[in-house]
Amino acid sequence: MKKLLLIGLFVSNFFYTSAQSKAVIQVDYETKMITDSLDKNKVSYMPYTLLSNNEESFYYNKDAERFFNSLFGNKKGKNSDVIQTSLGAIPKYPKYKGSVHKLKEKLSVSLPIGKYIFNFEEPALKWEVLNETKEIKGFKCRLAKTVTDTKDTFFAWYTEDIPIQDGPFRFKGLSGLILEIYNLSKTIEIYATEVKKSDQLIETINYGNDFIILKSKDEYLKARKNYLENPSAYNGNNIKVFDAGGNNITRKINEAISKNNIFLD
Amino acid sequence: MKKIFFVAAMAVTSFAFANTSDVKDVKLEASKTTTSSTKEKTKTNFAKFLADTWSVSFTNSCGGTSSATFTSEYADGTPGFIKDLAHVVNTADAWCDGNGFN
Repeated sequence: MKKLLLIGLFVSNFFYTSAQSKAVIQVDYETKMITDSLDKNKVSYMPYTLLSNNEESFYYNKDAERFFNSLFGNKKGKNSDVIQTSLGAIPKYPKYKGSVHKLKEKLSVSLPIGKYIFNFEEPALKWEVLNETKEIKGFKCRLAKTVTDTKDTFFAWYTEDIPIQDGPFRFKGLSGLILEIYNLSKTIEIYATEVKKSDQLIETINYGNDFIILKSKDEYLKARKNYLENPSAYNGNNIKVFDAGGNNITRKINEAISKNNIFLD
Repeated sequence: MKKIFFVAAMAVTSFAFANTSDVKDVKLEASKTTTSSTKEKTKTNFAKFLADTWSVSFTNSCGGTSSATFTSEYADGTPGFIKDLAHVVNTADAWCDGNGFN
């Protein structure tokens, strides 16, 4: 009986280990994004990391990984980045929580709306390779163009020197790694800041509760539209925010959220 | 026919009374607010999750003091509660740097 149990454990462990794949490359990207097209001074800089091999990849923010792992992950540990509140010290909430998991052709995107994380399958992009070339970080790059399902035009610089068909966020599927990408209005620009070898395990983030799997991207777009019209509905928790003078500023915050009109997808 | 009408009228009346007493209960529960220096907990009995109301204050990233009230369906100290609390603090803090609503 013991022998059977040991064999069972060995077999299950083997399958568990082989189910996780290791990256061959790590690319750090910085996204520069103007979230309100009427206020070009309102710029966000989002640091993201891509772990990739030819079969699988994960694009995520390291603060988000630390935060959710400290609460819901298998590798639970102390989150060193804490914020002191009247209710005690809490792990600092990550500013950028979205992630993209690619497994072969399937692209699974997780994006926040209010307090919730919505997951949906992102349709693949169709690329048109253009004639322009340039060098980025010593790699010879070619230019390609795509129009997303949400009707934004993006231009990507990719290199066949790194034959990994990957890139930041949903921008994948070219014959080499994408090192730079921007949209037509330049409200979104993503740059690779570092490219290095990696043998890290590719593991997705466990978002815990408030993680909602949607049947289609349309459902996500509808939810986001509703959120921008009525942020309180998706922020949950009946949040009311007060400034130092005790004035309720919840409405002002909701108005600021409603002004967002530039989105990565 | 008259009998059916009478029975229906009695049923509607009894349901109406039942609803009135529920509303009274809710109002009574909602008015029982207790306050302490660090926690402000209001039992809101009508919510299906029996969510509690909390208040939190903290020094925001601009150096000022922000505060917020919120409800959570999760017990104090659980991962779900900490996530709710962290989300609230982030929402309040984002107003300070003006860039956090993405």
